[in-house]
Amino acid sequence: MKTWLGSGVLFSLVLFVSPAWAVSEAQDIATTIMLRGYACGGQQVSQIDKQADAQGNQVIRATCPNGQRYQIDVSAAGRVKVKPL
Amino acid sequence: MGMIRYLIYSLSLLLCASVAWADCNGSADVAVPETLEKSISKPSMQVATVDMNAPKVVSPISSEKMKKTTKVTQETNLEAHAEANDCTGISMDELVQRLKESKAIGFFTKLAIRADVLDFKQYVDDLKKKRALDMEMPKVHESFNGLVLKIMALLEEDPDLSEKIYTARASILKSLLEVKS
Repeated sequence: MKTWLGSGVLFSLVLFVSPAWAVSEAQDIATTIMLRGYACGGQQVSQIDKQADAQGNQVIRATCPNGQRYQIDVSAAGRVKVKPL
Repeated sequence: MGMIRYLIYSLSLLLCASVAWADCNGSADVAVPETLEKSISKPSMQVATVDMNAPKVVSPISSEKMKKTTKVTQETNLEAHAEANDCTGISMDELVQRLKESKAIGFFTKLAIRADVLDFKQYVDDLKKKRALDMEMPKVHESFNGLVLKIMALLEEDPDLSEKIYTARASILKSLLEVKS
């Protein structure tokens, strides 16, 4: 009976517990840089600086594990541009 | 006792879900070639055997006719393939919604994907304006396949959505090509 209960609980956990993965901002920015064809040398960036203007445009500067620093411009319309600094 | 009943209920739920999933995904992979075989292979095989075995006997008129027939069967093939790939059980709106809600990719990555899709739509619109869409169809397909592969690679942590996008790729392309500028 104990085995049944144990396996039941385990089974319910497997069935009903949703995956807890979520991407961090550092990973997200690194992926965006790589998606635009730039080398980053890792999965996460560091030294993230964010600036936003009144129009809703956003400028993000981050450093990749390979030492290269990038600027990501996100326009108010949702366009993403990446340029190395 | 209640726990056992709960376990049986969970098992039956899992069984139902797996059957429904297999109906659409598993059998789609298997059923597509079968349906295609039924609807396509017979006429195209006939044309192929005539072309391969007796090219000298066939007159220019009949070969033209055959080319037309081949073209028609190829078009039918594409339509049949698109319809067969339509077994996704998911609409475009739902797909977009699921992409928006997916935790496998972050906000900026989603924005970048959105920009890529918009660029692709712009590319198709430009071709439509130039009336060169049919001519550039292989390039359009190549570009679209690249886009799908990119999205699938990004959705590594969300295999269910990735699979749904892959299965629905024909209808996604169809809807992107049909979008009016």
